[in-house]
Amino acid sequence: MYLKEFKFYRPGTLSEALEMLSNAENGALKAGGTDLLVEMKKGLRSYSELISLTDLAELKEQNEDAEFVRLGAGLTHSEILDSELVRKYFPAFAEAVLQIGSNQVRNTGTLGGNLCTAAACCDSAPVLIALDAEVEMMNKKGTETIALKDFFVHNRRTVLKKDQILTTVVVKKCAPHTGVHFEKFGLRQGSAIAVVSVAALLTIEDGLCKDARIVIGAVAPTPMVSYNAINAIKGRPVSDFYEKSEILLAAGKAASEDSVPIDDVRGGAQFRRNVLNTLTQRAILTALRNCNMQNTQT
Amino acid sequence: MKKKTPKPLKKGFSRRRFLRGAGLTAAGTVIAGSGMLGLKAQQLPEEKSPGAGVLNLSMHVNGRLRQMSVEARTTLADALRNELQLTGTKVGCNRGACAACTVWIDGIPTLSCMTLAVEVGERKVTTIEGLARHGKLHPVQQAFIDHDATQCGFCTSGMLLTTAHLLAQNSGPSAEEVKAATSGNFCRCGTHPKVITATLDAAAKM
Ligand SMILES: Cc1cc2nc3c(=O)[nH]c(=O)nc-3n(C[C@H](O)[C@H](O)[C@H](O)COP(=O)(O)OP(=O)(O)OC[C@H]3O[C@@H](n4cnc5c(N)ncnc54)[C@H](O)[C@@H]3O)c2cc1C
Repeated sequence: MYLKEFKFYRPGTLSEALEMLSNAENGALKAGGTDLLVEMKKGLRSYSELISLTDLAELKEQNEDAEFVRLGAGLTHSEILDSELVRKYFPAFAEAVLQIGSNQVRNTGTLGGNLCTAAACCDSAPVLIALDAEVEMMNKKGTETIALKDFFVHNRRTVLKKDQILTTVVVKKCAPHTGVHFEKFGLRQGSAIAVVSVAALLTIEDGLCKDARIVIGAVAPTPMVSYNAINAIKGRPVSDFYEKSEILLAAGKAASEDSVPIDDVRGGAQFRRNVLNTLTQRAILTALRNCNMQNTQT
Repeated sequence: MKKKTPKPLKKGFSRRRFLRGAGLTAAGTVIAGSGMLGLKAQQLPEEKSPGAGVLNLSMHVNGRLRQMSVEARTTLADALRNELQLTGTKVGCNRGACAACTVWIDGIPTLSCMTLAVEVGERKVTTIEGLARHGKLHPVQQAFIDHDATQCGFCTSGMLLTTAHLLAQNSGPSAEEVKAATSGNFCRCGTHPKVITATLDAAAKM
């Protein structure tokens, strides 16, 4: 399992990186390398040029304005966990990131790499999609922005063009009285790939679930919005949300019907549907609880 | 077969070096020559591409500046083991999943099998050989001995660097915190309970 030979480029600025990428014959961007190098070692992919993103300060930026928080694609998972902005505005995102691989993997793996690998089981996407995050992609011609939910095309395929670099994830700050939660089911406690995951976001107003997002992971070729689960809960009075209540059962069932899981070593399709059903209900209830906690704080 | 840079056997070679040499002869490997010889790590930013082929790097390892010849594709783990003979760093799965190869880069536990040697640059690498200070074992090393927290020993150097880092961050961790910190370090012998006991004991004595 040695790597095949490649040329290694280490640009110091984003524009240099874009130049190198557009000139590369068979090049790939390398962020943390925790996906890329594994696939290259296994012989699943081979490149004649690797362009390192690790020195690009532009990809490490994080800042906020009144409406949005911008997170550089080059931030490692550990840097996301240390981010004051993430902890303050998106604690559920931090919880999801904490469940990525091991401490060592989080120390090198990046947000951008996680999204660009576009594995169905990727742990950073569900919460970010629930938060209506957008991603910015740049090439020499300019910047394009797209909703994260539309970024994923298929398992391990995104809309990213060959000459584009994912630069920034833009996350909208939540409306007041909004709760978010991420549930992940893996086959062990630590360092496990998701067999099923769910992110839920609920906004409560006047005792009603005014807005909701349910995003399911590892149960379809891409992380996916479950519109039927959302419809099952949207507009409903908060008093209808309790364990095994009619609408929670309906939401769980709808999510599992929306899913298109596969059979693999980690679990059969029916098993995944059953787990998804339960996990969806749990995610909704916890999101609601987080929302109530936020209410009492403000 | 992989290409590798064969080195002449030195006088008084060790068993490990003999095996390495024998393997290379049998494989009949070729040197990938290039004009990049003499390139220093510090020069990388100007040069941008070390290219394919052999390059000479200097790297801060365990407090010393070490010279080595590597290729762009050489992982830090292979560079440490094959170039510097720092074979305390173990390569288990070679794909980031077992953490046996954990070293510190600027004090941060990092998978050396997933790091390219050329990317280390000016940062400082600490391997298990650099954990003991002035001839004195680090408290976790002593505690691992006291509690018999190793069996085959393959995961041990990674475990030690992981737990020593934890104790540097958190001087009084709970058992749960030790578990979480070492959850990426796989031990197939099943020493995890003793690793936890030993780490808690080291914390108490530090
Ligand atoms: C042991 C282990 C456990 C893991 N566990 C999990 C887990 O639990 N959950 C999870 O979600 N993932 C997990 N992963 C996968 C991986 O660590 C993450 O997906 C990580 O975030 C990838 O980031 P990276 O920086 O290492 O990406 P790289 O490997 O550097 O890149 C991945 C891909 O994205 C492209 N790319 C990277 N950055 C950009 C960019 N800015 N613009 C355009 N393209 C880019 C690369 O060209 C490459 O194709 C695990 C990996 C390992 C080895």
